[in-house]
Amino acid sequence: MHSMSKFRFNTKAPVIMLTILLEGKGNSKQKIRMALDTGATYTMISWKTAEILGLEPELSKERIEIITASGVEKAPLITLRSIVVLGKRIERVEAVVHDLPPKSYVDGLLGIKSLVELKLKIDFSEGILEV
Amino acid sequence: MKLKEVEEKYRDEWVLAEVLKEDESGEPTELKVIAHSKNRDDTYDAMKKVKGKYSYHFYTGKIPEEGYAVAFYVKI
Repeated sequence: MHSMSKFRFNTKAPVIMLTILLEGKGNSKQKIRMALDTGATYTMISWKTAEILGLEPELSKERIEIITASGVEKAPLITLRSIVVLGKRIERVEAVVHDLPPKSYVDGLLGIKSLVELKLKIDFSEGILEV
Repeated sequence: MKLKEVEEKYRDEWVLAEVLKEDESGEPTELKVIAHSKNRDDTYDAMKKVKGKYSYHFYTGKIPEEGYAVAFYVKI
């Protein structure tokens, strides 16, 4: 049986930030900070991060429309070999490649699809993440 | 350097650092700074140069900045 691990977060913080290891083609990997975003369907990473992971987003045949605060855009969908969040690994994670504005100060978003895979439980009153 | 020390020394900057040690949740605890800048593109460029090194890219300031609210939203 899988044992659950608990992690604390600051309930007063306006954004829940997580340190995430992204693994791409070959042995490429990069650790970044992402915002946990229950309003995002997919996990999202920046173009530069995708390129560093050898994912060639410009060659991706899968493009999807994304609705952002600034309008509707088409963005490539790529597959990360895996991601590691709070010590738990998820294999083959689909991610949208799109740059968040510099003022967002995050490298990406951890969206609902990944949160479901992770079986993440969020206790907002106690400030606990459980995986 | 400890993560807290990096965050204090390079406040309100983007940092790229080699991960020397991390805890069981994957949070880096010991780092060696490779590059730091107010401009994210500078640390992205550094990331390309040290490709293959186990590194961590992050912003050290408050998120969001004073006077800003956050509204990330992506529905497909």
